[in-house]
Amino acid sequence: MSFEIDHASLLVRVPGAATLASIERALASADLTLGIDIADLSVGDWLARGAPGAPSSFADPADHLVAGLTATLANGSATIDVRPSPRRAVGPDLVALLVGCHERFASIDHVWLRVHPKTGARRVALPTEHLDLDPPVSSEEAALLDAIARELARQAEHEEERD
Amino acid sequence: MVDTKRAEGAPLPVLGATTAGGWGAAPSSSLAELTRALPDIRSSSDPADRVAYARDLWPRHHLAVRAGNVAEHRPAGIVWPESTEEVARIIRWAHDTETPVVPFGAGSGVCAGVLPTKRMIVLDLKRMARWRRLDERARTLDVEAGHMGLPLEEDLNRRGLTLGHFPSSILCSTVGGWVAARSAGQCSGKYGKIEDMVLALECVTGTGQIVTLRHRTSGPNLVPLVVGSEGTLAVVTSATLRLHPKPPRRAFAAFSFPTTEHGWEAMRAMFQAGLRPAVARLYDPFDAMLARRGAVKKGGADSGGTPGLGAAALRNLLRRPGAINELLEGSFGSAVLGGSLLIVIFEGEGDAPDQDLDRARALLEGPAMKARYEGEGPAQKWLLHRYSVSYRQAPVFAAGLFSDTMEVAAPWSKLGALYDGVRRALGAHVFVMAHMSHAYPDGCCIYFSFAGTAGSAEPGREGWDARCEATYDRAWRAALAAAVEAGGTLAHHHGAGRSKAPRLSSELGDAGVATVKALMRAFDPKGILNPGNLVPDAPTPYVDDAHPKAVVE
Ligand SMILES: Cc1cc2nc3c(=O)[nH]c(=O)nc-3n(C[C@H](O)[C@H](O)[C@H](O)COP(=O)(O)OP(=O)(O)OC[C@H]3O[C@@H](n4cnc5c(N)ncnc54)[C@H](O)[C@@H]3O)c2cc1C
Repeated sequence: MSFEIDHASLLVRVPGAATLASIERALASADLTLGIDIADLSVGDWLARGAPGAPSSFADPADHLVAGLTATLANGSATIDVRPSPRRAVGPDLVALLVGCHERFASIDHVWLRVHPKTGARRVALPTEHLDLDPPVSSEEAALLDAIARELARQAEHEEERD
Repeated sequence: MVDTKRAEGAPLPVLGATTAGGWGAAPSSSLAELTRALPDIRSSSDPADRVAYARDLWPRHHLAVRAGNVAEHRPAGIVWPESTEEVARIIRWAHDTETPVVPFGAGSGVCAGVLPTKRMIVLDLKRMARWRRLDERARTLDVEAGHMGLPLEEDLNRRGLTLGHFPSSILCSTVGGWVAARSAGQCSGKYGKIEDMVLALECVTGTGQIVTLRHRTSGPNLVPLVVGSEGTLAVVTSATLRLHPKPPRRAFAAFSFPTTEHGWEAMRAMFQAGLRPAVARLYDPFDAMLARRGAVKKGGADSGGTPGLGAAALRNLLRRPGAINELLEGSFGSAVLGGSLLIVIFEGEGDAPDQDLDRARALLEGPAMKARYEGEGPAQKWLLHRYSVSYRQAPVFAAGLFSDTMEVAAPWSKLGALYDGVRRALGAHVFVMAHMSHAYPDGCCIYFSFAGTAGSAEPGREGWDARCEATYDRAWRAALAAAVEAGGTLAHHHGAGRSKAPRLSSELGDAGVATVKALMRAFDPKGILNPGNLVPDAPTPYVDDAHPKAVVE
């Protein structure tokens, strides 16, 4: 599996199927690290589970874990391409349909992740212990998630009809 | 379903004119129906109110105003709900009657996110400006969406807290507008953008349902979908925001560099070393020259002076923007103007800011970076006048010119291509300068400011203002294409609105746009919330070439 390291931007582009351990090994030879506790998971599965073990974005608000990705919609009909950028303001953030969503809407083909120098760089860690960062999903949120799944499926059918 | 366009070739209605059709027509019955259905909710169809709510601050509107078309896009009326329940009742009524509604904060948006039609109801949130819950232990505040920016920050400061969000428009923008447009403040280096501050949103969806969306790290998180949705998915009625202790101490510094590129390499080095200056602003040589002279900063928000050179001379000069840009851009320009300037402010408790500044100086003043320390003065001066510069557009327009800003972003590896590409694209049409004021470990935002004047006449665009519009459209078209070509994003913090929506497919791809539309149907099945916004193929009254085949009613 090929990993593309953007040294200037401290980003790495990896396939969703790559394991975290294999990415970490490849990064080590460039003196870089993902900076997380490595689980025995593919990066796609890891992100689908909400990236357990990664620091919360509230710990360092200037730093985001995912800079961009390509993903295939759940029924395989279309590919979403979110180009790497530190931030954007072009509508809803489609990355949210992937991270923590257990592949309900789409699955990751490739992802641009933030990497860190192994030595010399300080990790910023603002206090987050009193913030409730994992509340349960409410019934209203669940209903909206269902509606999103329905509309994405309809969109996919529509794409198929067009093809 | 929803009317979003003026008949092609129809006369542009002017203030006070009564027309039987088009954008400025007399109010349809939608507001009358609404007041009959919901008599207890404050509303107005008063002509003055309809004029006041006919637009946001998209500079293209200013050109229309200068041409005499003061309020082309008057809505049917305005409603001012005072509670979430009232918002829900309004939206339920709009859903049942298929009446379009546009949420409105303070109207400081600069991308035509607010562009009413004659059937549209403007839903102004500003009467919803209460604090609902301050949790001092967790340091969070649930605040209603209509709260204006500056009083919010001032009230927090009195309690020893800060939100850390300081857009230059803090005097004229609301919490809901920040969330809806994905706003960025001057201290984003430490506190992030607004999307990094939101823990929960209370919203009303397009069916009138009240929902609370919560940030969630290990499960589905709907907050980032509504943040940045520019009024198309839901009306945000309150936001729970993360707060910080008000920093007791600041450390200031400024550095000059031979070129802008040297300057952004210094920013990259700081952010990648784990330094988080609250403020890191890099000015290109021309912008730096203005900052050094204080010309941009001295006047204050409402100083009405015309540009120093005199309007006529400036108009003439700006007719040849390519030559001026080339002259100032090269090493000659850089040397004459004194290079680029980086302003840095660290803030925090105890001696942390000074220690961070020492680290930054050690990093920047090493031989590789070519930084020259310029003392504390420029950074302190900037802080003193931090909101002044943004309010100096009026004299530019009064002088027969126009100005605007464009904020794009890219990873560091693409920043040079983005800077050169957009600069060249804009520079062929308008005078352009740039600064960089939002940096991250993986990339940076470039904020281009530009000013232009009328180009040569072309068929259908003969008058001065029409020719200014033509230059304006050409500059934007070329610049957005160049941004995408260079691998950048179309917008970093102003949002897309209707002004950039026609180009969204070039960044998001057709599948990305279709996905956004699917989200719109999920949240707002009848498409009543700000219809036409963020949709590339929605007919637009302005950007002529965007949809050559758009059907016009
Ligand atoms: C002089 C000047 C300086 C500026 N500087 C900055 C800056 O430094 N940083 C920055 O980020 N921006 C800046 N802007 C742009 C603008 O201030 C921001 O986009 C701001 O977030 C808009 O807030 P508002 O309350 O005025 O929203 P509006 O202009 O009223 O609305 C903006 C969009 O959000 C939608 N909306 C508003 N409220 C809600 C709500 N409650 N629920 C759902 N949708 C809603 C509207 O429908 C519209 O699409 C500047 C603008 C000006 C004129």
